This record gives sequence, C-alpha cells and structure tokens, in this order.
Amino acid sequence: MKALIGALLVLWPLAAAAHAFGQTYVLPLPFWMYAFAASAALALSFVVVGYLATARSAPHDARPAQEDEARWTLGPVLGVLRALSLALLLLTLLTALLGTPNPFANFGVTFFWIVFVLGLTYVVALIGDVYAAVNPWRALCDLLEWRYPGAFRARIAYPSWLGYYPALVLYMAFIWIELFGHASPRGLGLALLAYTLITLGGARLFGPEAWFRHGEMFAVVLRLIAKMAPLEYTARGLRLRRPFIGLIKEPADHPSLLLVVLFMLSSTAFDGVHQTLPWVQVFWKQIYPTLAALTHQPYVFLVDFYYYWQWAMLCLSPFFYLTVYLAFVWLMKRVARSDRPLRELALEFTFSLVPIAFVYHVTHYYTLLVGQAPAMVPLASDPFGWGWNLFGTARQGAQPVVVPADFVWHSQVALILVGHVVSVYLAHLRALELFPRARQAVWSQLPMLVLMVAFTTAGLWILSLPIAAGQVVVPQTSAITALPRT
Amino acid sequence: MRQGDQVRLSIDSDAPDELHVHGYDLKLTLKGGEPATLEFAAARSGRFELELHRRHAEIAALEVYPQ
Repeated sequence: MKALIGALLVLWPLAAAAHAFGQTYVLPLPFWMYAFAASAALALSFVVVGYLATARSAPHDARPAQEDEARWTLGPVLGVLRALSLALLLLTLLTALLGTPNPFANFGVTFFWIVFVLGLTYVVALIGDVYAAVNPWRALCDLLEWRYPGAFRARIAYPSWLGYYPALVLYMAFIWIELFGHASPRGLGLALLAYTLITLGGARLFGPEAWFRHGEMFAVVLRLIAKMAPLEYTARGLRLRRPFIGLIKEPADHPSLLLVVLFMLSSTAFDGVHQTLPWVQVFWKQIYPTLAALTHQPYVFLVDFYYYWQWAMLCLSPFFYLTVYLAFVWLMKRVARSDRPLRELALEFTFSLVPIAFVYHVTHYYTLLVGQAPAMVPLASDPFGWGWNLFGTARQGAQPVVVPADFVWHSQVALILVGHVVSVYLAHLRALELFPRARQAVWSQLPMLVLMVAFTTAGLWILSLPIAAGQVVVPQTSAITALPRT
Repeated sequence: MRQGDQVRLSIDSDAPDELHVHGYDLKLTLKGGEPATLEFAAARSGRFELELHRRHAEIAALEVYPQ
C-alpha cells in the first residue's frame, strides 16, 4: 500500500480542485452499508411489484377525478419575480466578470453553482416548474422584444429531427465546465455570457417558444425534474397532483430527451467515479503502461491525454447507459410479447428513470448545498468582494457547515432507496397500462427491475469507492489554462 | 482515524507556504526548511483535504470516521 501511495504521489505531483466550486467532505460509504442498501433495493423492488400484482386493479391515477381544481394565479407577483430573476442574472454576470478572483468571496460563483444550479433543482422538484415562469433569459427576450418588436419572430421553423439535441450538447458543455473548468469567477462569467448569447441567438432564429422548449438546457432539465412535483402550472392556473405522477402522464416526445435523462444519471455517476482510486487506476495502471511504450516522454504527453480521456468518457457515458437501457427494454418487449416498436417502448419508460437520477444527484450534492448556502449571507452584502457592507452582514457566518459523516451515509442510502422504489413503482404502473394483461406486466417488469437494481447498485457502489488523492494538474501548455486559475 | 482523536501534523516543507486544513478552517504557516506542527482534536467526521495554499496542491486528506 505504501508503495502504491508513493507511486501515486509521483504520478500526481499537484492536485486540482475537486469540483467546480466548494467542498463536500464526504467519506466513502462503508461496505456493510453498501451491501445492506443494495440488498434492500432488491427486496423492496419485489415488494412494490408484488403489491401491484396483487392489487385488485392498477391504481389508475394518472388523472384522478378528485383532483384539486382550485387555482391560484401568480398574476402581478410574476412580473416582480421575473424582474428579480433578470436582475440576479445581471448581478451574477457582473460580479463574476468584474469582482474578486477569489471564488469564495465572489457572489456570482456561489449564487450560480449553489443557489441556481443546486437550489433551483430541489425547489422545482418540490413546488413544480417555477423556472419556466421566471426564466431570466426568457425575461430578457421579452424585454428586448418589447423594446424592439419583431426581434424574436421565428426566422426558421424548428426542425423536428433536432429534438432536444441542442439542450443535450449544452448540458454536456455545462457538466464539462462543472467538472473540469475550475472555479475562476471570470471563467464562469465568460461562460455565462456566451450562454446568454447562444440563448438569445437560438430564440431569435427559432422563436422563443421553440428554443426555450428544446434548446435552453436549464429549462429542459428543470422541466424534467419538475414532473415529480406535487404542483403543476397549467394554462388555467396552479393545480395539485400526486407526487411523481407527472412522470407517467406522457411518454418522452423525442429520443434526444431520453439521452438527456440518461446523461443526468451518467454525468452524476461520472462525477462520483472520476476521482476514485479504481477509476484513476484504469488509466494509469492499465492504459498508461501500454501507451507509454510508444513515446519518449510518456508522462508529459499522457498527462494531457489523460484529460482528453476523461472528457471522452464523460461525453460517451450517456451512450453507454443508452446501450444498457435499450438492451433491457428489448428484453422487456420480448418477455411481454409486445407488438409495440422498441423506440416507442424506450420513450414510454424514459421518465420513470427520473427519480433514480434525481436522488442520485441529491446524494452527491446536497452536502455542498448545505455547506455553501450560508455563505450567501455575507456575499449579499459584499457581492464583488470589494469590501462593501450593504446590509451589514458582510462579516457574518464564516464557519463552514460540515454534515457529520454518519448522517451523510444514512441519508444517502435512504434517499437512493426512496428514488429506486418510486422508479420501480412508476415503471410498473406504466407497464400495467401498456401490457394490459396484469400477468404479462409482471413478467415484463423483470428486465426493468433488474435494470433499475443495476442502476441503483452502481450508484451505491460509486458512493462506496475510495477517493484518489487529487488529480493530474494541467500543464501550462494545455488549452484549459486559458481560464485563469485562482 | 476516529472522531475525537487528537491529530498531530508535522510538516517539513522545502519552500515557504501555508497549509490549510479544509473543513476545520485551520492554517499553518510553513517556513522553508523548518518543520512546523499543528495539533487539534478531530471533532468533525468526513474527508478533509490538506492543501498547500500557494501551490494549490492537495498533499493529503484527513479521513475522520464517526465513532
């Protein structure tokens, strides 16, 4: 072991920041807990399937009659919220671009990564897709349209084959920045500026309706998450519904949306795995020796190559998950002897994966949210890090919040099991409708059940892996150093 | 190590730098060529990085397991 650590230290002379921003302080899950949780996932799956198989009839509750039709409209409050949202986008851009280069003292960095990216994800899961109503880029479009009428009249009809691919590509770029882009405020500011221009350009070309539905990645991802919420915003106002039921109301309308869901799952898995010892060893112990024989100065050359390897793995990860998913859907089709095409079935079960992806996301990032969110109090008073004290809170609450490790472990296992049960339940409910004879549905669910147990166990396994001490630092010659390091 | 244990870090650096213990928010000034020691109780559980501030290098991690 000592020798191994020595070898690692030689290979990793310097370490880079673990994540785009902030620290999580999370210990790997103990093995006994992992084993327990994986078995529990399996056992609970059978409980769910058994319950539904013996239920008199499938709970036909996609649209129950007693739904609360009471409506509240946001009305005038909405205008205020949209203005606030746009103002926060501008403040984030300004502080990131002009404020202090120390990411922890810059409002834009904490606000974007912690409040917007993490906080909003959990908010829409609880109260529905409020983002659609207060989307700052949408507000910006409307403001520009009001000032320059016709600026966003669609010039080209959105091609249906394009589906959600623009959002998928942007989502991949976003995760790349999160994992490999480092926390420099200026880098974040420039990326956000570029994203704003892309969004305005997309909306100008295809019209805001089409672009905010298919191209604006935050809108696409948050709309998926919001399908779990017990609240829904319809044309007639706000409506209560059973939690998670929004996920089986309709199938995914394009294969690219399936890829978005799978990337949600695979990118979190990749984030979890890409700094663990087993993963790092795959490259440095299996691949490196082979490639090193081919060149004179292998380390100098392959340190760069290692980065490209990591990026390639990130971008390929959803396609790896897709292969596995399609294989199991094909098995399900065979077992259920269904005449429906594979593509249709794959789209029908797409959204049932969202709970697994979501809890997975929560277990990886909630400690970051809890740990860093309190920093918003001092940052609000001194957003640029220039020594201001607007609200008199600039010097408050500097102690980091560290969630105790055993609490983290238990909450991770509990959340993953809840997400797993919900996903199995939803998929089974869907199967009962698609394959009318209940018995057929029970059998058809066996492949789906195995798939979900596999996804859940893989997630737990990643949480239990030991973490490698740091990563290879990018040499000065590499492209990534264009973003200034702090 | 276990929560509640006493931690004693001895660092011998060849260059002046500052050691940060993340999560505990502790700092230790390192003078080049002179050993420096930091002692504290491991009150918090989790995985905490030991970072050389100037070099931006994670030199080790402190893993404190709950009791």
